[in-house]
Amino acid sequence: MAFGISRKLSKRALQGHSWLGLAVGVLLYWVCLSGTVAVLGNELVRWEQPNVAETLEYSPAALQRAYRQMLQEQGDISTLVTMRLPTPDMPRAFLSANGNAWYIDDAGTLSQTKSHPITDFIAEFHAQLHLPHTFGELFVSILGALLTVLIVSGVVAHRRIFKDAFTFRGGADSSLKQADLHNRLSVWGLPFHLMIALTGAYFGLGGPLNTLYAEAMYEGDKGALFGEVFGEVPDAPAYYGKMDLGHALASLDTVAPDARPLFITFERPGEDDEFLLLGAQHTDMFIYSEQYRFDAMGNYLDAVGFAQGHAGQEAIFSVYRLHFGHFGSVWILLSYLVLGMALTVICVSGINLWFKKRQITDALNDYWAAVVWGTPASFLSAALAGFAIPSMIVPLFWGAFVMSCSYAVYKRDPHRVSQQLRIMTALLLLALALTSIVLHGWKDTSPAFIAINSGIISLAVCLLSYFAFKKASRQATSNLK
Amino acid sequence: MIFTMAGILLTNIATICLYRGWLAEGANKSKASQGFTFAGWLLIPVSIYVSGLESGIRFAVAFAIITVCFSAWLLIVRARTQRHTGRERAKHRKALNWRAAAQGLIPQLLTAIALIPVCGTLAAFVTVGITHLLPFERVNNLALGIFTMPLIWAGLALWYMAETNRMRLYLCGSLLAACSAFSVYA
Repeated sequence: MAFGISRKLSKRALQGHSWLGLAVGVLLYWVCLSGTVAVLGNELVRWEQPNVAETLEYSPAALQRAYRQMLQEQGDISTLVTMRLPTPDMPRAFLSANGNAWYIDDAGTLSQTKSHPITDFIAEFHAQLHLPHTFGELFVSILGALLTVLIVSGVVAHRRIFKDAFTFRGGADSSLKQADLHNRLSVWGLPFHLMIALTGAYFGLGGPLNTLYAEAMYEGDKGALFGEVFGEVPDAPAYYGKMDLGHALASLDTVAPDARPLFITFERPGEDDEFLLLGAQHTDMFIYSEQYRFDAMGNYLDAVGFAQGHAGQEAIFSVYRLHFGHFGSVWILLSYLVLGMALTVICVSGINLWFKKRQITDALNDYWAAVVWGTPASFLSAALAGFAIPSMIVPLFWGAFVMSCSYAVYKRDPHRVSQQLRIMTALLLLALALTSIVLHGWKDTSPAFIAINSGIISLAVCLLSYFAFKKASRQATSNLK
Repeated sequence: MIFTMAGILLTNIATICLYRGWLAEGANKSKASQGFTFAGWLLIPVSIYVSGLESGIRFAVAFAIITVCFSAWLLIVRARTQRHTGRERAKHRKALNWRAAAQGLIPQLLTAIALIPVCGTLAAFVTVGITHLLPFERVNNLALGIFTMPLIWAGLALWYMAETNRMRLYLCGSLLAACSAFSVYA
């Protein structure tokens, strides 16, 4: 008995794949492009404020002083209070409360306000496309689920998936080239892309699914569901104002000697039953952290169980690090950059294929040229302006994007507009790196600042050289003819 | 470090074996090429096992996925063919036909509604309706459901796109929705 996908099913799957790809292609392109950059979130935060002192050392007494200072200065606390401890990928301690965050210096005083508008722009664009928070997150997660639909329909549509696994036909026939580029990047990146789609879908769809699970398994009690997955609130003994962070950190060392402290959440800050939640990374797992809970005096209470509990808890709490590649070494980050860029290219090449098959050129081609290269160019223009007026990055981006679309429609020459926007993107990359160097200097800056600026400059130089090479080879070909 | 590197090396060899195996087609597809394909598939789990000795199984799987992907792309770049089939024909420039686009809007909108909110909601109900009955811990059922729901969505969307008998599709879909809702709320 032979198993296989019928030609008819394959054809219909391809039709559906094309339809859905066209329907959500632009949105997926935005999410994938911003997601690729968002992989470098921690490095970008350090790049935006490069003069903050960096160290992996910290004293619990100093951290406690910073917490006290924050309580005195802020008065009423309306949010969670979280203290991020220094780690190799973010060697800075900072404290967040009431929607603000401050870096903590060696002496335990709150220093610079943590501010990174460019990174925030990228993160918000990726997570919610600048839509209102809850709706935007759900919307982007639905895009993650639709990416799964595209992946599955793409596999069903591709009858020669193994036979053509290593075929790439370059040369002048750009339809074949686009098709091969689309298929080869998709097929070999499939496990990664599927993981990105499934973990991406979780962020916004987890909520509605939890509501249904609460109905089915917890008699409608969502609190009970969250208690079982994320841990019940512990019974913390009364707190007599003698917080001992040092004792908590020392106890953690005994309870989980291999775990690396990552953050401290002060639950019910200033209340009688205040308790501490110490997030600690287990470097042999994908979970963001295990959460060890202590009373305010630093006595160990319990652990939620992400590391040693049920497999389901581990799976749910592994989503973040898997989605953003924050595990392993810098090589994993670089791999995620390449794989993310491949997914972005897949989105673009899929729509390019549709354009290639059309017999005509119209305004849609103009808009598409503006979307593909207008997006990075608009983002870079907004980021540059953001050095002067950080609060205006979002409107500046959308303003620049509308302008690039209008320009493309006005010029009615998508090929030329695409060329101009590409060169503009490369030049804006150079301008961004140089502006940041002029503003912050080069000496006494964080290694991330040097790495990101070197990366930006190298990328700009590579893009410019590639465009020059392409232009020269095109001219040589036309001279031969 | 040594086991991780050995694992990555084995993954590279596995990809090269698959390359050798799949490159041959039709009459050229000898026993040797089938052997290469078999060796390629076999070496992938072996490489995961070797990396896993040092890095743990979770990281070993991640390393294998990334390595297979990169080594395959490098092989493709190396083996790419250059065909010069002549210049592309210049296409006619036309004004965007807004009237035709507007006329086609309603069927497109209906497809979008069927594929996105309808298939999505049905997938959520089917997933929860089935997974909460599984004989595992509740947390494990929940996690399994959260990660399989988009795949069930994909299956339903594919069914919607491929089914030629629309009446059967609507009847089966409605029955599925009713059973799942009963399973969730009853």
